[in-house]
Amino acid sequence: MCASHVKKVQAQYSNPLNFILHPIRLKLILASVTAAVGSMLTLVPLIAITWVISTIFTEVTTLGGSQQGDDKILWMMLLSIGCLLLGMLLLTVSELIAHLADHEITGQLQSKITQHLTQVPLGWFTGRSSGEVKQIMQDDIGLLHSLTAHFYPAVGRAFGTISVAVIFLLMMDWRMAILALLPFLGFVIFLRKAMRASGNNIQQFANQLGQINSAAVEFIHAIPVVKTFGKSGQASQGYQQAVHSFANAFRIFTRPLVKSMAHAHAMISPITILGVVLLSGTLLISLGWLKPINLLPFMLITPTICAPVLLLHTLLHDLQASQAAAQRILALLDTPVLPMAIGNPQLQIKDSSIDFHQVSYGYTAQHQVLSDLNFSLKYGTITAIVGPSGAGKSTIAQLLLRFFDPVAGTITLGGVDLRDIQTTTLYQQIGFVLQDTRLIHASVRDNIALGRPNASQQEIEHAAKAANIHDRIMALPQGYQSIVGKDAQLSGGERQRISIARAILLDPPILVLDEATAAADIENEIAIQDALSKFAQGRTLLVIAHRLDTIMNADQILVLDQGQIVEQGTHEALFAQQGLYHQLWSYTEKHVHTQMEEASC
Amino acid sequence: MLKTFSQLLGDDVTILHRYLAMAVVYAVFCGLSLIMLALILSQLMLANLDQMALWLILLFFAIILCWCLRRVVEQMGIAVGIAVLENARLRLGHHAASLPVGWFTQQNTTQFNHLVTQGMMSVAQLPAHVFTLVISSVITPLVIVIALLCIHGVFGLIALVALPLIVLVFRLTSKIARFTDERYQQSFAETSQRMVEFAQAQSVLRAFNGEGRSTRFIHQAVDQQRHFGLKLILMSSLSAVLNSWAIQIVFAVFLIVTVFWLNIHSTNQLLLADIVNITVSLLLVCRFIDTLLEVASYSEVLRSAGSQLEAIQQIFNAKALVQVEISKSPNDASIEFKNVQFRYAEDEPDVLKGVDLYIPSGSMMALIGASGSGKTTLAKLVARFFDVNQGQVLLGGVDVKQLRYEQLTTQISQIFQDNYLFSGSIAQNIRMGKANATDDQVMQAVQQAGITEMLARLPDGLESMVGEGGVRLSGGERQRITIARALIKDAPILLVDEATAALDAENQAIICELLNRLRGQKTILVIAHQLSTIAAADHIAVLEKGRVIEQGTPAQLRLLHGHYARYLAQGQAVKGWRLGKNVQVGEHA
Repeated sequence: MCASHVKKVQAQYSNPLNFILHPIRLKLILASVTAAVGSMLTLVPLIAITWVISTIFTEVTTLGGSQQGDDKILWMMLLSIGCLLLGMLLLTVSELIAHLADHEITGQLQSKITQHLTQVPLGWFTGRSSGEVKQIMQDDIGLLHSLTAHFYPAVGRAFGTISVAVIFLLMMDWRMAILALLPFLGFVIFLRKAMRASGNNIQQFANQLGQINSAAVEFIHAIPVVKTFGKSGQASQGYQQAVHSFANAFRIFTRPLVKSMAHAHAMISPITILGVVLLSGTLLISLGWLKPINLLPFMLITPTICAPVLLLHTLLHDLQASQAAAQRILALLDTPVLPMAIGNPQLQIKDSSIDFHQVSYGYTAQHQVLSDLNFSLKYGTITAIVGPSGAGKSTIAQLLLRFFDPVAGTITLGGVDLRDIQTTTLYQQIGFVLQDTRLIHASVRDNIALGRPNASQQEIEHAAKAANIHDRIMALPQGYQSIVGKDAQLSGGERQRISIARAILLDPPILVLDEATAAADIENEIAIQDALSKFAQGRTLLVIAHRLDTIMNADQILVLDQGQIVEQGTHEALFAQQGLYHQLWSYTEKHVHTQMEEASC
Repeated sequence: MLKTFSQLLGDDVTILHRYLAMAVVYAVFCGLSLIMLALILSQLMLANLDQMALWLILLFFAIILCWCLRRVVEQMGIAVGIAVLENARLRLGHHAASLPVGWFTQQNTTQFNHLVTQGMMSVAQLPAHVFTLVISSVITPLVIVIALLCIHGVFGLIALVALPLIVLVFRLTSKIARFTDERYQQSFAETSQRMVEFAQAQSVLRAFNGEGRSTRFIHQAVDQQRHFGLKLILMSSLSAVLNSWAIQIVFAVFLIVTVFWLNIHSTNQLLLADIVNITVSLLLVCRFIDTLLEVASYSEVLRSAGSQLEAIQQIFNAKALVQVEISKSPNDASIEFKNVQFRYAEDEPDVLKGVDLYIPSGSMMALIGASGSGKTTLAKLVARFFDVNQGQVLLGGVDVKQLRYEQLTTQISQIFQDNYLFSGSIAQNIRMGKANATDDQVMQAVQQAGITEMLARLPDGLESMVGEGGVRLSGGERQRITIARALIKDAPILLVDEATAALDAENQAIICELLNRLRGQKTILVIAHQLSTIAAADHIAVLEKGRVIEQGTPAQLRLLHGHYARYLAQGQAVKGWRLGKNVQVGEHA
């Protein structure tokens, strides 16, 4: 996620968290209220104890004996036990509501993001590591957890406890109450001091955090390479440096913080609170403003404020992280998507021919990958694209599959602009077998049936047979139900054949073939070639060729260099031109020679 | 948990021990101050004001001391945290660097990254943010129990009995939560994997989304995670309820006992001293209950910290290859496999089942065989990516285990599918192979690896930056830079995996040329794919299911009419393949 984009989003939503949490705000409010009521109830026993003991104490000291009705005390105690248990229950219910709300919003966001990502230009994915995508979908959403699931109940709890405690104490004796509550004021002061101190260094600290992340990534990837050069020390150097400078930044970041934080924490530890109450109480007693027994409510109730305040503080700390996560999520949901076609019924796809009309594409304005391409794929013909690596061959295939839209020009399918065709229709028309023969972690059956989940077993087997992979699948322990990567360890060639079966099952009139590389061994290659030959018949075919001899018989060969078509024609015509195409052949020429020697001897 | 923590800190473990000791001292001191405070209160209520000033001064100093101790403990906790962030990170990195190259799988490296960054961060915060509070919340109740036993026998006994019961409940509830938590974590990891797959396989998922259902895998995973997430919520709520109720029931018992006590005594005369006594006891009971509640609230944090530490422990558990103290030197550049057996994990089948193979110094050996036959594994054993389970791999007559890593690596150049480039310039990446290479040597490697043209295209040529934020290079181009890197090293043994190194036609041609040129000068072990390579080899070994089933010179093997001969025939067929109309083979030759 680029920083400027995040910033833009930041400006757009004055409070990203509120925006994200909007759908569950009623539940969160309910959780806060429940927690407030619950925490009020848990204070009842303490107030009851205070009352009972004060009454008895007063009676004993003034009348010399207790006259209190026993039943009254008993009922009082039973009532407070009831309140206590009910209070605890409400607190748990509050947590439960908040967690369920969190659960709800997490699910909503995850499916929203998934949906959104299937519509952004594919280039978005190439610009990011898969880890980043996972980070937003899983970890960032997880970061919201401390906010949604914990913060709101904690606020309710703090409010409930503090309001009841403060009001009760003020009613008991306002002078004493003010003195007893002073430590909390001290806590806030120290805390603000700590925050200010850390605020100065937080940016530097965040930078270091980013640096250690990339240093770790580089380090762990570099070790195996560096090891093969026998210089383990060199890889560790960058890592060590990053670790040391991170630790230093952390020291600088925490040094001013530790002192103030330690003071703040010590300030509201029960022993300090009780000490302040006792010392100031003694003072008031000696002044004759307070009776000793009236110290009791302060001793019992003041310390109960500590825990919710501390909890609130911890959660406020996490709030920053949630805030940042919410921003990243919103920025992601704000990524522009490929405009979806409405499906104009007047635009009829006439046939399975493709036309590129003045098509240009670039990832950025400076970096033009393809410029001004004009060519057509006629129905039922084979077109091959050749050229040195980096010429933009694969980009053509990706534009045709509408992984992104051209910057200028149009691509039409049967006379209709790709942008006016619904994606589902488009992908029923165009099938592809790309270099990237990625299989999904699912059963072999599901992998073949990826494009047509409802295909019958017979259809699937038929496709597998056509792709020469059926026998191999049947040899797997679970047959078609074997899970790829778990039950079935498949070689590159076998994966390739499964991805061919996948395309065969789809049975599209147009096929894009990013030709198989040398990844397969010879036995596999025969099977693959055989499958492709059968499959290619009667379709409009676009082949991204890596080996020239394969496409010698194409109806049309486009020679691509630095994003432009420099030569175009049949093999014979191009070879005679002595241009780039001829030059490309010379790479493999020697190859063929050796080949012939071998074959002849 | 503390054990892993200690291991993580290594020599710095004394910092941890000192911190823990200090935290205990602090907790005990706080508990004692609390007791003193209670006693002062009772004197105050009895209007027993003799020596009150002295007591109050004592209390004042005790609080100040607690305050100072708190600060010291906090600082020590931070010191432990910094030790984790600095030395434990280094230690983990150092350990990773000692692991065999084979350890560095996708899964392990991802895990390492996570642990070194987020994992270490959360572990580092444990002492200052969690341990201090947990320790004092555990010790305070103990001190209070002792005090209660002295002040009010019955209360003391109740507290004494309650403690083990509460511990029992804690253990039970944590077991419930942990069980659900483990399943949730598992589902979380699976979903994360799906998300990575979702990003990586996006092109496939899109192109096969004709029915709009190719996202169902990720949806299923998310649903499953949510299912376990919901269970976890319910279970942890349940355990939270059980924990807090168990504690509050103890409190209720105290209250009921108080009522009965008052009842019994009200029939007689209730003395002031008794009232004061029970008041002070109740005050201590309140502290007792509060601290227990606090311990309960940390159970979730402790559980998740425990799982982080466990994951770190697992990395530490991976064994480094044993290094000899004094390295022997190989006699020449020959490679020999003697009855080599190997499997990747104890519970997996053998990948190599007794391979015997000799590659004389300066000769070229081509390995062929179906995928999964063990070719790549064999080549990796030469570079000691792993150690064999049985048998020996000899380099110049010396077992690779008898060579120190530095010695071993100077012997071997390898061209495998590791197109990893460091962030830095292309020149720096190439010089990785030979730090003191002259500019001429670099240029020569560049030329041999066929990147001259590519460099001309880049604005900064050799000085162009690659890696994160660097220039956009294709897989083939990256691979060619790594080829230059291997070439400049100029080691006597060259290992080549042709199948993965030849990413495109250009790379294929480069590898082909390279092998032709180095043939006879170096010992070459090549996992061959191109027929030309195989034909050029001095020896060929055909592998099948972890065994060498044929070996000899190309001429010998051709006459055998065995696997190799069949392989050749198939290769011819492959070469003749054309898309579209069928035309005779080798028109332009």
